[in-house]
Amino acid sequence: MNRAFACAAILLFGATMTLSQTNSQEPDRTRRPGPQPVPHVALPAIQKAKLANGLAVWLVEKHKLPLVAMSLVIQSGADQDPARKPGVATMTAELLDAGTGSRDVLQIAEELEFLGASMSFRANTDASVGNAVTLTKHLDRTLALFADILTNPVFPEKEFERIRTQRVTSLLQQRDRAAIVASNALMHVMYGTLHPYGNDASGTEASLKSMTRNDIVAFYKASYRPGNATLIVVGDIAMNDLLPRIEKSFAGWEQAQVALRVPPDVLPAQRRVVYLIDKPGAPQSEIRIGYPALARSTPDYFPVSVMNRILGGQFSSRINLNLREKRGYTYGARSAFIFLKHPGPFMASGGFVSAKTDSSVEQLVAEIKRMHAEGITAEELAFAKKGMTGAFALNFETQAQVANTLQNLVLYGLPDDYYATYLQNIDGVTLEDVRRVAAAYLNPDAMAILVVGDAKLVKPGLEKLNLGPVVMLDTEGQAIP
Amino acid sequence: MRKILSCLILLLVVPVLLPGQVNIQYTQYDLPNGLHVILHRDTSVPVVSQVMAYHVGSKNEQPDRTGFAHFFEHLMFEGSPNIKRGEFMKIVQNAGGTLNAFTTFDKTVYFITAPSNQLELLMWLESERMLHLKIDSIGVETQRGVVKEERKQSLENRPYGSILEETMQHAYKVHPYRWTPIGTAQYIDRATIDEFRRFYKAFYVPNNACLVIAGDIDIAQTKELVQKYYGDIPRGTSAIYRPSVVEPPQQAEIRDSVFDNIQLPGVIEAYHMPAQGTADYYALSMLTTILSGGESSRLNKRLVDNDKIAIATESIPMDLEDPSVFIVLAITNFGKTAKEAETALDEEIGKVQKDLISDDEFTKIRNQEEKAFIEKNATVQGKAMELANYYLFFGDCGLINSEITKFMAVTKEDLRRVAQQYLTPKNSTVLYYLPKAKAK
Repeated sequence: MNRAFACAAILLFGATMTLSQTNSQEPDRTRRPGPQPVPHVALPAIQKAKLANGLAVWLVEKHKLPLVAMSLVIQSGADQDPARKPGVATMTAELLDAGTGSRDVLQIAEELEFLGASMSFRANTDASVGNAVTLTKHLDRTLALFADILTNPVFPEKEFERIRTQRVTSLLQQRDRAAIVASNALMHVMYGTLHPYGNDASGTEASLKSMTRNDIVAFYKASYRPGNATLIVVGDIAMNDLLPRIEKSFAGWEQAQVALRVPPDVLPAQRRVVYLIDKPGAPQSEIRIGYPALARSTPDYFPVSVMNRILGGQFSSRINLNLREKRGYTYGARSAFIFLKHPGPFMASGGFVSAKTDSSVEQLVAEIKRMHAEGITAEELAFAKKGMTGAFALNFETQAQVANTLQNLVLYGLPDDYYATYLQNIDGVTLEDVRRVAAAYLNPDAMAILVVGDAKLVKPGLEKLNLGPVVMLDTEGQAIP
Repeated sequence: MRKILSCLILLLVVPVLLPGQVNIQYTQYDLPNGLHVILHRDTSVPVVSQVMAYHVGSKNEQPDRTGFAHFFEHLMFEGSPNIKRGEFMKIVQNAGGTLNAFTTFDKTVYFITAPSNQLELLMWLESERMLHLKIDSIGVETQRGVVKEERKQSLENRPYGSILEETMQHAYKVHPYRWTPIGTAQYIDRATIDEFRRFYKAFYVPNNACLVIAGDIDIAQTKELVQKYYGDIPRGTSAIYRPSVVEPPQQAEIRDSVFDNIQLPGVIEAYHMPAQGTADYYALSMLTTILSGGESSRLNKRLVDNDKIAIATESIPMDLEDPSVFIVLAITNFGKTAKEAETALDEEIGKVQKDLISDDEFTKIRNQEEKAFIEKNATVQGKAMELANYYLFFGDCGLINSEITKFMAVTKEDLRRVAQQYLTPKNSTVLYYLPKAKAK
């Protein structure tokens, strides 16, 4: 009903656009054409239901292609890893499809690929998520397989060992990837090892070696429960058709209380420190600058997002224009506030010409300082808003995109009308809001500056910058005595 | 065939539920200056995508000027008499749009997707840089630096980053596919401003391009705007260089080692194969699904799951305009050698050459092709890209609806035959990737 109305509204807009269009003529190329009236974005209506065992079911109907996308969101991610055992949540997710009570690992892969369906099971910092996309005609078989994997995994010892060995191997490989070494090491120096954000979510050599299959089983039992989960379905199906199928597949999932742990508080950074990881002969230096910043629940989410968009959140940001377009030091540089359930980091990053490592650090710091001191101009504010509001509709084009976008509502407890009011909230951000959050949340005097590069070449320059003590780290982010 | 027929029937019965899924409608025509225009209307989200595909890629370059086409992709963002330097991207973002571009061996493609009320702006932007791009020393110098960093980031500073470059360089002797789009930095340094201007005049002309506009548009009004912005751009007058050289059939196996900053050795095999669009191309493309399409694929089951020789396997048929290569590769597991991985790869290839695949496996790869084909058309940008590609390289936009039938026409016998015909030692290039530390 609602959708029909929205469609009608779009049609009307279309008609107005046609009428107001000027006729073909010699273009005045010196004048940039302005926009037609802003089109209406028809947002997906969310239908909700709950199974008797507590599993929440959300449906958005989208009939454009004969496909159905599903996301099962578990509210426990790497943030719930047991102390000193980073990697358990991501291992659990990765091992889900390694065998169930009735299917072994190859039967699962065989059946999935026979259906032409795709599935993935991953844990990130905040959640564990199973995703599936299938042709509507294969929905029943796909759903049966999806539910079997999520509710009856057996975590075979052999597969556990295989993944563990694989991860130790890829840790070894990662030491060659300066970009990964840099990001992981920065998280490590910002959060320390006791906080889940301070550790590589896929595990460290020590944690992987001490991990047992029992750790996986225990994590699964404690976290993968219907009351801790939401199944988001987007696609070519209606609720009355969908619900019985979900009942059939998920009704047997056993209920149990889930207690979510809160990670320790993070002490704010006190001073500026320059960390250097030596990579002899590196053709580029990977630079990361950051500190623990904000949780997704911050009331300043919108002004901070607008501010960062100008600082380093898009191609035409100050950071990228300065370091890429003006100086040619890099193929791309950026900054981000990573909003998580608990305060996540602010991070500026990029790979830069080795010989310009010190100048790159200098310019990145200068851009952060300038934003901290001055905020943005009215022109920049308008620019950021236009970009953020204009691109909005692109999140709702495919079934998988909608399912993915709605995960944010589930994970961060955002209201159902979050996307309906999104444009208004962006539009409401003022220059003063941005100035206030830039002053409050950018800390140019207390940041970790981390460089992975050829120490022989870059260290003297970094010392000369005089931004703080230069501390040498190994590739794991540990101080070298 | 059946499946598509039944979908069409469904469409007729319940058009509200499945609008335009298997039958994407489009209009196409040529402007007098030779620009080919394709329009497609899809009103499901208020978005419009504009794709401008130029029929120029790295294969149109001279051997002492490799990297030119890709470098030009960067220059195209530098501006025009009406768009100041650095503003192009800003204008698009200011309009709420996203844009990007890429260069392959055969084409250079520019695309912008934005809210549908910005349609006219998109045309103004793209037509400005087709009509009168600004090519000056400031832009060239800056982009020289940026492209060098791009090369470092994607090749030199990334383990196995040079696989494509090394493979093509070894597998081709005379055809320009022997170098890759990123090219070699020193050639870009040697080029003069005049050479860039000549390249622009030769290739960036309406008669060497295809324009696709897809999304929430009114067809009649869009046609008027296309005429307004693109109609007055003059047709190119210099000859468009297209290499006619044909790579002679390979006579003997090529074998070499590459030393890289890696910990785990890898093995790459490349076999010459026919160009995209040929019947054997479709068979070889489905063969890669058998070999490496997912966890239950043969290479993964054998090398990763069972023998634990490799941590990753892949097989790729390069979709190219001229005869291309079929690449198979494995990255070894800790403690395993490239030789062990090569032996296992060859044994698996031997199996598809010897035995027909089972009915189940055959149905499986057909199901996978069907879903992949439907998913390609999930976004207006995806559809615009496909339409441009089908026009430029196949001369038939209708393939956006029907190419799946070419996959479905492949038989089990075809799969065995192409494996026998193309995946032979004489037709192969074998490269070992080995850790640098062990070189010397």
